[in-house]
Amino acid sequence: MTTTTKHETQIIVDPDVPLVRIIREFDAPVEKVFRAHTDPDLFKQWAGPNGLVNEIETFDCRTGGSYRYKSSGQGWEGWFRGSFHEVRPNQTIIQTFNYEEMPDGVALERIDFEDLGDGRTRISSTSLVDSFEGRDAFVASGMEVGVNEGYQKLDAILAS
Amino acid sequence: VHLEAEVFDLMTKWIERYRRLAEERYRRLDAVLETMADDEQEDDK
Repeated sequence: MTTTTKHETQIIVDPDVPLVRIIREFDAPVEKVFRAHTDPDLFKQWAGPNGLVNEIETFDCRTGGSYRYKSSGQGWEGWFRGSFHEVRPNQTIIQTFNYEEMPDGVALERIDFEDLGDGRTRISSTSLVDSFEGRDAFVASGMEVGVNEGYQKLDAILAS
Repeated sequence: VHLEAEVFDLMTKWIERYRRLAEERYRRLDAVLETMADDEQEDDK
């Protein structure tokens, strides 16, 4: 049932610290992968779950900058915002991430970009929150959408 | 012990769903990367 690809995302849920780490490789040079994170016109095309559309209000991806955007679709909408604490071109983005309905639930995120050579890049994206309850809620968030997407994909696979 | 096993099982499912969401997001990023110009110019279509 699982389709395997050479770039399947890896998830690490740390047992000792309330963080989640996502690791993924891309067939694109590090400059491109980095730009897809910092250019709002590119970022909005891929951020968030399938089926939601992003509208950017603010996106100033540089050290000391901030962002705010709305995701909507499937009868739902929500605002997300945060600060870009540290942005080092083609290396690292350290930022906060917050769903505005839960203003105390701020995640500290770190995205490291690693040039693998041959035009390939590895991303390590770490989200740290202030409690295991918060981390587990973070992991479980968006699950209604995720479950529906999963079933739709499964339907499509089964029908093919 | 039974309850702990249930919680662990639920958490494992959540983690797999979370991973799948991340994978879907990054497949869209794959697609965006393919649309970006191969040269170093801005894609200003």
